[in-house]
Amino acid sequence: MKGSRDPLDIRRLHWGTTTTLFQWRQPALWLYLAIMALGLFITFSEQVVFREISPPGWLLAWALVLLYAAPVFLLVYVLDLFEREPMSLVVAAFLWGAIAATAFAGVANQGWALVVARILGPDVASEWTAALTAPVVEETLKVLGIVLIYLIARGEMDDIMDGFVYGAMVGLGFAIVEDVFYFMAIFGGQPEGVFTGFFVRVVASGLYGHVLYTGVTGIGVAYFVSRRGQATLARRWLVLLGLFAAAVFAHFLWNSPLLDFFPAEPWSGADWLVVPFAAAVKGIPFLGFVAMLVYLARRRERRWLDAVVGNEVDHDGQALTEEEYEVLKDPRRRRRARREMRARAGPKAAALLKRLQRSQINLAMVRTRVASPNDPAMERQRAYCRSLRDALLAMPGAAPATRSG
Amino acid sequence: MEAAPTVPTPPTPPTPPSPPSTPVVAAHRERRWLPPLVVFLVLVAVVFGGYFLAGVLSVPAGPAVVVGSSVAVAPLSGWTATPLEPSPVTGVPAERISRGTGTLDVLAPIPARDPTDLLKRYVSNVLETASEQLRVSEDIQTRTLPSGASAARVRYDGMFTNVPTRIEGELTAVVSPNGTGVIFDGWGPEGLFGYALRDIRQMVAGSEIV
Repeated sequence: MKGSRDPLDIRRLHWGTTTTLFQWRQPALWLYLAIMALGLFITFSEQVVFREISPPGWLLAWALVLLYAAPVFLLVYVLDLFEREPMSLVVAAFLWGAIAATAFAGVANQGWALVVARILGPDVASEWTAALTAPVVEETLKVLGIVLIYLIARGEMDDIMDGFVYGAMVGLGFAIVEDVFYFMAIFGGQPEGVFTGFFVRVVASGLYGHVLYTGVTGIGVAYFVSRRGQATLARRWLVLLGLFAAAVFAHFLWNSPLLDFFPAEPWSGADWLVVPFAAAVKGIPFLGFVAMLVYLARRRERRWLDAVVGNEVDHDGQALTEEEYEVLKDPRRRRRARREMRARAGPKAAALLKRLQRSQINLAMVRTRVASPNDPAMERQRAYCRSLRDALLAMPGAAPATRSG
Repeated sequence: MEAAPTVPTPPTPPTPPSPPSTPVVAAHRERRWLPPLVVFLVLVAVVFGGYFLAGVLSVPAGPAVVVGSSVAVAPLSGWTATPLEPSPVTGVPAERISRGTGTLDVLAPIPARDPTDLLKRYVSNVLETASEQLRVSEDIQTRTLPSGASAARVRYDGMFTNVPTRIEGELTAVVSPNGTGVIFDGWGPEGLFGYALRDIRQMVAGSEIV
């Protein structure tokens, strides 16, 4: 891959610039905290009511949604191949969705429902309110969380995968609190109802919904803020509003009576098999759209890596051999190389190999922040990579693994 | 004495140096307060805009309807008023104001001293005789309307004669200082009534006992 050169402007990336949530000089942080405090009060009051409906049902509801949330959180977090987002910001995004967005959406949806009833009348409103109000209200409240995260730590959102990660985290937080609301308030709150709700909202429909909607909107936000100087303002707005509209439309379709193949309640027998099918009809097209976006974003990340460190393979500094570069591009091959190193040369060697791989990625990150490949910072990072490799090669049994990757 | 063979020690790997320091990204020098302010304003608009807009849209349309020469009710836009035959139970004039499946029946005048007492009389004489499985909320809310009349309010639901679906409603009994009582019986099919409730409450609150 050393012959490949990407014309992308790598200088706009800020890989390796790690910022935490706690930027006390940023007004956005104080706004975030103030809104969260108010949202926490509303959410807490609501959860107290739910707990009174049925303590075992409430505990079961939380246990089930956390069972769903944990792997999704991990999956979204590791999607960003080369630069994991700071955990404090990721958690902040998740909490915004879970606390602030859900709390204020509850208040706002009621207000806009009045407008729908006023304009369209009670009969139409009863069928269409959920489709006409919630998508715009909830997607807007969620995207505000992504914008605040960006305003708190601007350097962290430097490519569209970052936007997807933060957006999906906001959506995940929103989804689990909304699920608990449905389990307790709509499905009755007793353990049997909670299990029914879990089947409908998570087992049958868990692949679709808020994680996807806000993930797509997050891509739009990240595109808007990271493409300054590369795309025109009009194009950036077009992408941002277009992806926001796509998320709103998918949400609208989900909430609307259109394409509704859910069986009439109460369900029995084969009805339970129809539910996942009905959910799939509404959810799979947008899931496919998001999968395509994520695929393109990840491919773009790889292109960035090629553009940034591909030259290093040829560089006299030899911070990166060709074999190391091939391994570095694939997270699975990186993990396999470390496993093989551990088996051959022990855990210390595997840990050192991990440091070498990370420092080589950091080399790419440094390159995104300096004007020239001959910048002193690049030379220092190359020297550091070489010294790590020397240290690794000096460990018994490590040398062959290093050469083979 | 022969020296003991020494076990070759593995070479000690050189200690890797500390990572080099990285250049610091230049701090943004821009108006840091403006974007959070915009975020805050959008949040406020989304959360409270619906209530504001609903209030703007809920305006009286057309002349007020006078029931039994004793109470004037102004239907909101979209609501239409139709005179009803005097109830065979109460024998008082009545008017029906409706929009779709949302309905507000206004009955007046009914001699009364206390709105709670009037409310209980209406429940037992009218609602209970016309319904099955009637459920009435236990707590009776009392309040004073903007016109100065005192009011009592309950929610109810049940199956009613000649109505195929379950009905839910909100009953408001109002008594003026001179002893003129008015019944406002707002109702609609279960699940739909909530979408008409705000309009009904607004019309009740805006009524004037002549």
